[in-house]
Amino acid sequence: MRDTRPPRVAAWLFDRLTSGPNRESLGGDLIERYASGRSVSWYWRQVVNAILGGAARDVRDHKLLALRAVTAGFASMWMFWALASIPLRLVWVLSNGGLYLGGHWMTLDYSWMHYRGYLALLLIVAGSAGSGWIVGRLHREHQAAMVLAFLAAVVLAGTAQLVIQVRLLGWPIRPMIHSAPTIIVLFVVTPISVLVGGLWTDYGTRTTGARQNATF
Amino acid sequence: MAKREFLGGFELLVLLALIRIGDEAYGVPISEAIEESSGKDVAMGSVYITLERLGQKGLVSSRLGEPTAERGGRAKTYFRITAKGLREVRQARRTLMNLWQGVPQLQGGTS
Repeated sequence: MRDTRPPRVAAWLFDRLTSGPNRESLGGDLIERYASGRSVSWYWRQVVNAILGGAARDVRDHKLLALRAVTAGFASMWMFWALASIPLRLVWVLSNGGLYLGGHWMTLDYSWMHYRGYLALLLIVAGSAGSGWIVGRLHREHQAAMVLAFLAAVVLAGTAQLVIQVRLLGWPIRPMIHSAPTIIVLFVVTPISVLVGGLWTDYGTRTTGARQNATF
Repeated sequence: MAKREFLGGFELLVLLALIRIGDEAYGVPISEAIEESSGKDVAMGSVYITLERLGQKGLVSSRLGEPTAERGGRAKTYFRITAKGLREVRQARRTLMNLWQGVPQLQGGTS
């Protein structure tokens, strides 16, 4: 017999990312129609549409707020990168001959150079999640929409960066092998980190969530 | 000539569905009514966004029902067209009929 409960991940995303005065009723309607025989793919389509449609409406209604969210997000990301470059540079210097400091040579084994990539990845995840968190924290009223607006801006900026790189340097001989890490970082790791950080802000309040119905 | 906002195509469909269904109009029957008459799948999120917009224009009113277990403990929101909404639908009908008349390409047939 078919399970009448909607797909868990989709339902969770709906609860986390939709907004608007009728989100509870819309959620109930989707459950009702799914239970009456609609497919899993139908439910997913409806959830994605509700999330994107709601976010687009919020951004349209609060353009200045969205601009502030994108600015705050990029500013915090930039500041984080300025700070993160210090340990990365330190590892590079220490494992490339060392540093004479306070009468001592401070060095790291050259094998640390291999770990720099992992360290950079860790810092990207932390920096992206941190900037998403700041955007979410600053815009609690329209949190999901503002985090998604920042996320869209990050993806756009990543695309622009990639286009400029390709224009200047051209594709390498084996593009996928050489470009895969960059593409994964730009379009998978960073956006997911921004989203997780941004939605982490009020995890507690939403999961215990009060009904948000409103009538007009 | 008076400057006034026209109803959008989807807004008109939603208002007509509300009129057809009457007092029991909430998200599910509204979407089903539009799907049955248009033969196209409807995004329920879009229906609600349209209903919110119509509510802001004063063309639709709403009331909250009781939460039920079958809907995961979520209540229905019932919608109703207002007198102003009804006037707007009549006006849209008049406008469409005026434009429809005398256009040879639109005479007869269903396709």
